[in-house]
Amino acid sequence: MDEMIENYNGNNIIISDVSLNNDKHIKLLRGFEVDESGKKKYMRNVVIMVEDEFITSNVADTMIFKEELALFNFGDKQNKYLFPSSRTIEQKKANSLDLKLRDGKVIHITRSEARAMIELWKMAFKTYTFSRLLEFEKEQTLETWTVALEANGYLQLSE
Amino acid sequence: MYIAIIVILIFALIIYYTSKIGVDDEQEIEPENCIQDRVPQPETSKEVVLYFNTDMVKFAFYHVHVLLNYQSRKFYKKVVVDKLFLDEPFHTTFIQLLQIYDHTESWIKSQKTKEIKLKIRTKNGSFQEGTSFKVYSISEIIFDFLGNILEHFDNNRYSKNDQKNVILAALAWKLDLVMELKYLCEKDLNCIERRECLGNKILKHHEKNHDVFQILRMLEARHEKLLFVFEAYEKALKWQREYPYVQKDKEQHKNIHLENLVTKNSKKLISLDAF
Repeated sequence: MDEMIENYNGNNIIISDVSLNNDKHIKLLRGFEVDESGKKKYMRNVVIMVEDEFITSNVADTMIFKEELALFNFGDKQNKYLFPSSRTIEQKKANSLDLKLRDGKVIHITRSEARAMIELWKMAFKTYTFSRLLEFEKEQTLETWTVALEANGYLQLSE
Repeated sequence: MYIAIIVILIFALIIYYTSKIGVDDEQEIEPENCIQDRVPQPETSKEVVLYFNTDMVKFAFYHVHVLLNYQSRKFYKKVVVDKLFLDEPFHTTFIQLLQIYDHTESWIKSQKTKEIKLKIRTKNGSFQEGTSFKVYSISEIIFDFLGNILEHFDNNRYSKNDQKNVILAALAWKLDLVMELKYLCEKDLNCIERRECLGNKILKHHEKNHDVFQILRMLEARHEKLLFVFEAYEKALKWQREYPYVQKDKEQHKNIHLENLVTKNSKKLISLDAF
């Protein structure tokens, strides 16, 4: 499965997204490299995108995001992306994870949503191998990401 | 006896009438002949082909190499060489405007783009932020815009002076899109004042009461007679190619210095064949 193919640093990365939560627009973007000769797909990068904003940019950061989701309110203020908080909804206390975006908007993730996202996460990686992702994770710059996003139609206004 | 006299009379009458009819016919024919004599029939014109030795006829043109883009070269040929708009100060101002749009790397944001905010961890571990979206290239828009205006001139009749003034005014009107010229004017100007300031700097060879300035004012007021210019611009935007672009926090533009543009003295005598 993991025979050596050239560590190609071009822009032929195909991005496919898994929608982890539709209401809150949380997506898992997976960058695939396609080996045409062997007709195989290799995962080269995994990031989290919320609304039109990148939250993480490499595998290590994305794994932190996933673990913070899994911990839910067992996490604390040392968390990097998701912060446990409690709100009162209809005079009852409710726990949630808060995700702050760059423009100040706060997204609240409930416990069930977090669990569903973890399940989807597992499904999204089920048939793929991680060895190539860890060995040759694609180091991308702002420019290469922009070109890849444009090539895969992410910059197109869908409405 | 009587019969013989009657017969003779009848003969005499017949001869008299026949002779009279003949005279009438002749009288009718005469004026026709006169008219034919007076008005000569048009002669079938022969085609006259004149051969000019175009190697010998030379005009003062700018060398094409001062322009970088093939499109600006095409428009220089289309406007100055084909239409022979050689008079000053139109010629110099036109090529200076072409040079500005040739050198510019400015862009405007596409109408059909989504913005994605990126945050990338670099090799050092530090973060780099940026926003990616799709943009139109200003030089491509302007060259399409100019093409549309010239197409309108081909289909409708405009005097030479009007054509020249509209071309200059339309190009000067869009100068505020060129970020490389931003340094020329003060920062706290609104868009109309900035356009006026840039127009004055570029059209410095024209007198203040020249028609170009009048057309610029008409463009600002969106005059009815110049609606085709707005249509040409919108048409150019509609079919424009989009490019991916990432905007980082700090953006710097190279300034285009007006002193580096061509001047009247850099013209050379070039034959029409060279284009």
